[in-house]
Amino acid sequence: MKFLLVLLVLVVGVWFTQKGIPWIFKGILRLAGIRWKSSPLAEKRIRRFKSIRRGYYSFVIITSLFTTSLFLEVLVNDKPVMIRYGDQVAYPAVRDLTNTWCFFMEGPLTTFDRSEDFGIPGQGPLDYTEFARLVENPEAAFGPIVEKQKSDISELEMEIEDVRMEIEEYEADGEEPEEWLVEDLAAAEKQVVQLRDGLEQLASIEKVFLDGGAGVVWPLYRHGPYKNRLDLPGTAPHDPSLYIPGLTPARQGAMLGEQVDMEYGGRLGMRITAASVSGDQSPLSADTKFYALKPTTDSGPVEVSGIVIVRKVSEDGFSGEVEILSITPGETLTAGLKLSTRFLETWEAPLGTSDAGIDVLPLLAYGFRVSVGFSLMVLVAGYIVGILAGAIMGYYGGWTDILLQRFIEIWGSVPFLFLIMIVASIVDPGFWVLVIFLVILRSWMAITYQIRGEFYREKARDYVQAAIGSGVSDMTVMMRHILPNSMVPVISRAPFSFVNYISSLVSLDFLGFGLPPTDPSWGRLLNQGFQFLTTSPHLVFLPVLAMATTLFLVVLIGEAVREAFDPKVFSRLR
Amino acid sequence: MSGMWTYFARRLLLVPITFLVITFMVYAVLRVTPGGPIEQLENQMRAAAAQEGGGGGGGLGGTDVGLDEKAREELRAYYNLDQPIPIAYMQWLGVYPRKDRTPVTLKEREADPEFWNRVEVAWVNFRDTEKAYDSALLNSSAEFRGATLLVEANEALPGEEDFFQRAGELLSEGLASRPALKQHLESKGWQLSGTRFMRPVTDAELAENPGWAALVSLAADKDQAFKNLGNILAEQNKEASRRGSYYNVQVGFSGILQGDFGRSFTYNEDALDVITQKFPISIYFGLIGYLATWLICIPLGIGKAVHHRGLFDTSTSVLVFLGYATPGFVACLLLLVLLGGGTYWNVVPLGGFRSEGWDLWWEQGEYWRCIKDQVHHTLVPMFGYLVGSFASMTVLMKNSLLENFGADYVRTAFAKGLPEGRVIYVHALRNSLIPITAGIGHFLGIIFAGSFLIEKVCNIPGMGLLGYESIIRRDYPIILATLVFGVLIRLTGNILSDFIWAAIDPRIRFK
Repeated sequence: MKFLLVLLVLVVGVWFTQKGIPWIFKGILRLAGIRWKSSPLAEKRIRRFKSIRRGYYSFVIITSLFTTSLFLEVLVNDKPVMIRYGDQVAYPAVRDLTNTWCFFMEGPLTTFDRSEDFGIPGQGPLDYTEFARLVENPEAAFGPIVEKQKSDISELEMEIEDVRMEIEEYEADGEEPEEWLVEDLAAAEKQVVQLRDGLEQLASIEKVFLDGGAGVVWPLYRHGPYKNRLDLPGTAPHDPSLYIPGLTPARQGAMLGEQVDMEYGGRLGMRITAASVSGDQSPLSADTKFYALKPTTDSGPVEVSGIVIVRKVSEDGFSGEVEILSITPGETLTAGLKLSTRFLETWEAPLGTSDAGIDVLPLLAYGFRVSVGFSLMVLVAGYIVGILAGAIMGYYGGWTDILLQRFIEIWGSVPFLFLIMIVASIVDPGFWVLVIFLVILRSWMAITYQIRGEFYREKARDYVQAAIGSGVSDMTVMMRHILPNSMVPVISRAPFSFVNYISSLVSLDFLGFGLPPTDPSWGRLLNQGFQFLTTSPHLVFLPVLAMATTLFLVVLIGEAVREAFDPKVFSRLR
Repeated sequence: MSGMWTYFARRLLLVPITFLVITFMVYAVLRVTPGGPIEQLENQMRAAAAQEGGGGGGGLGGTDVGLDEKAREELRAYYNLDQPIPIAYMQWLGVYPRKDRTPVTLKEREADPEFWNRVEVAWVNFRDTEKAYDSALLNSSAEFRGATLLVEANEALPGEEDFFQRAGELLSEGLASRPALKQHLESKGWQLSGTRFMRPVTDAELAENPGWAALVSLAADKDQAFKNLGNILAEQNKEASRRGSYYNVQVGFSGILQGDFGRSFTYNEDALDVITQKFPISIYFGLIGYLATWLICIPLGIGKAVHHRGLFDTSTSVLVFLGYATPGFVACLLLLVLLGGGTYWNVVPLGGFRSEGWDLWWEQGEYWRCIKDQVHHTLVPMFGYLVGSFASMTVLMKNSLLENFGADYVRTAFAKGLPEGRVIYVHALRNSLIPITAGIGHFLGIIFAGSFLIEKVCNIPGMGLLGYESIIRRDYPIILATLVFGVLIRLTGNILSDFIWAAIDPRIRFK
């Protein structure tokens, strides 16, 4: 089911990106009164690009994934897309989405759902997981509470009965009942009334839940990139729970044997008798940590009752002695208990968690959006500035050209990572500050010289001279006449620059001079992998895999674009 | 040819200008940004005090353990932060005289008792006036900021009611709005002292209140006494600090032009010495990485060009794309995870230049062990450098060879009936190696500076890591020294590249 949903989202993403967005774009252009006409040359190039399959498919994949990732808040989030209780409806994840895109607005959008409004007493923010639990199984959730209320009431009633009898005894004797007895009675009666009211309320709330008056719609993946996964047993970083060959440590199972008297520094030793519980028949190895697992009754997570470490292994490797490292208070480790090195259920945290206990899967997904968005911003802004500078240099020539050339030469020699590091070690630069930094310090220079050359060449052509001669303004000549004819180097270079900017962002984040520490990013994940190099290889492999795949696809696009726009025909050897 | 010489002369002339602009920019950025050496020192002191305070009950949270004004003044002079940026920059450059202070020794004082008696009298005079001033200040509730007397503001002056009320509100909001409060007060020259507001005294009040007037005159006396002391000392080119230490002052030029890069704050050594220690390590790894790149990329590029669009070309293209998609330091990280002995294989050490006992083994003659150790430590960084320039180098080699294949002279050679091997490997290859050879100059910069990402990941104590750590620790002399060498080598490297190109390829002409 979930698989189908994911597939559906991806298909919609591809369709929307490839058909929807061009359609909207053209519609806007038509509304603005601009007629979209593409030259035969451009169409030929696009056809040629599409005919290079690997490049075209990479293009479809990357663009579709990116547009889909713009809606990540309703796809991967720890808040539900919609919650409903009676006639109260709220859309927490959608609110997150609008908050992300309307980051400049504050106020009405930054409210939270009060738990009181959704059937849980209290003024604080609603605990969505708790709410979802109530929705899923109201009887199991409400039953114990109602039972307890009821037993409380009956107990109180019995007490009241006792006190009444006592008072009546006093009255039968013709004495005044003692004062505190009367007070007690009044208080208890009041409390019973209160409890009854509470019970009624509870019943009405339960009724809403039982009648299906409450509902919750979760995103595809229920965990976000900001919240610590406190629901997982053990300590962060967790290994992936999805089995990834070579990355997830092999699940090693064992069964706890009987207890034998053996002292390890004052602790009791135990004997493991078999090492073949869950399929894999691998022998035990010393110093393996095992988690003693106790299956809970409902389908919830498996409970961990203690951690043991293997100290001595027999020669055949199928039995050994363990020492208890820690144990949940009140638990006893009984014979027949399941022991496992990997105790997370497969879908609990499929890709593991970071060292702050944050789920890696949302981190990677949001990191993709941040990286691609960042590079796009730097690319577009940098190219606009670069094209302007190059156009001015090439068009006007002379002193403007020489001065700007010298400026670029000097500016290009500034060690920019160095400067960013110095400034970033003092202030935490945000997304936009980093974009502006990279544009001003580096990215605009990438294209300037090529545009300058193109403009120099085009300016000498007859059509430009004709345009100048007919009295068109300089700006129009540059933008309308020359620029469309000098876009080839711009377009064929863009994917490679894009790769460089993603690498720059990852490097900066890796060093800790990039995005703010709370933002999800691949570089920061890599840095954590660097810190847990020997113990948590997934923190290196997963971001590297994400980054290398993305960049590989972009390079494929770049190759195809270059070949389609700027075909170099090398003469054959013979 | 003469055109080219003037071209290179012009390029070389531009180097100093570029150099000055860059260094001045970085110098100014360093000075303007907060968190300099004094603040670092104060942070350290605070951390230490917090630790001690934590042991003794932790009740010291409110007191501010900073440096007092006198110490700060002395430190500012020591770090040369008391000069305005352009002058400090020129002093650092060595074109503006700098005061060099050395403490006066006892021997010097004994050599000229008459002079030092006069100094002593002036010092005692200064100390007495200072004491009088201090005690008067202590008894009053006033404070000085510079020469301005600040008095306690219990009520608003007429016309400033709103200002005063707002300050009161901010004060009652607690510690969270302290910065806002300070900013608010300072907008009118007020000041916060504990929980009291201090405002500058007006002239009318000063005339009315004899106590305050006395305070002002005492302050003036004190400053005059210190000036007198300074005047006496100046006769023999000496200076005093307000704490009573005397210095010989020598005015002279000492900056990077004179080879003086200053003392490193963290290593407490001459910055130039620190750099020369790290220099060979970076060169070692850079050179090895560069050689490895050549050895792999050139044959691969040739193969790809010869089999252009063949099976070999297409299949190795995947490698090239992957190399382009993976930064060098990421490749190092991957290799360390795989081979560093964590979860998978234990082949290479987790970083470092050599093992700890390396020098000892060398002395004991265990050369084989030394070599093995060195190779182990070199593998991962070498791979990183290789991946970093693998894609561009291979593609450059391939394209340049392909271009030559299309040239007329290759066609002629074939027409003459020369064997294919000879045409490819002798005629075409020699010419297509030109752009790669010319890249040596560009590579110089990388060899020198080291890729600090790779050095950080592999924990190599080279120039890159030094630069990185000096930024984190705000070690200004080291930051600037690495910058100077990095920029100079890069600039000359670029020119060198073009020069080599022009020298070996007669078709290239720069104008």
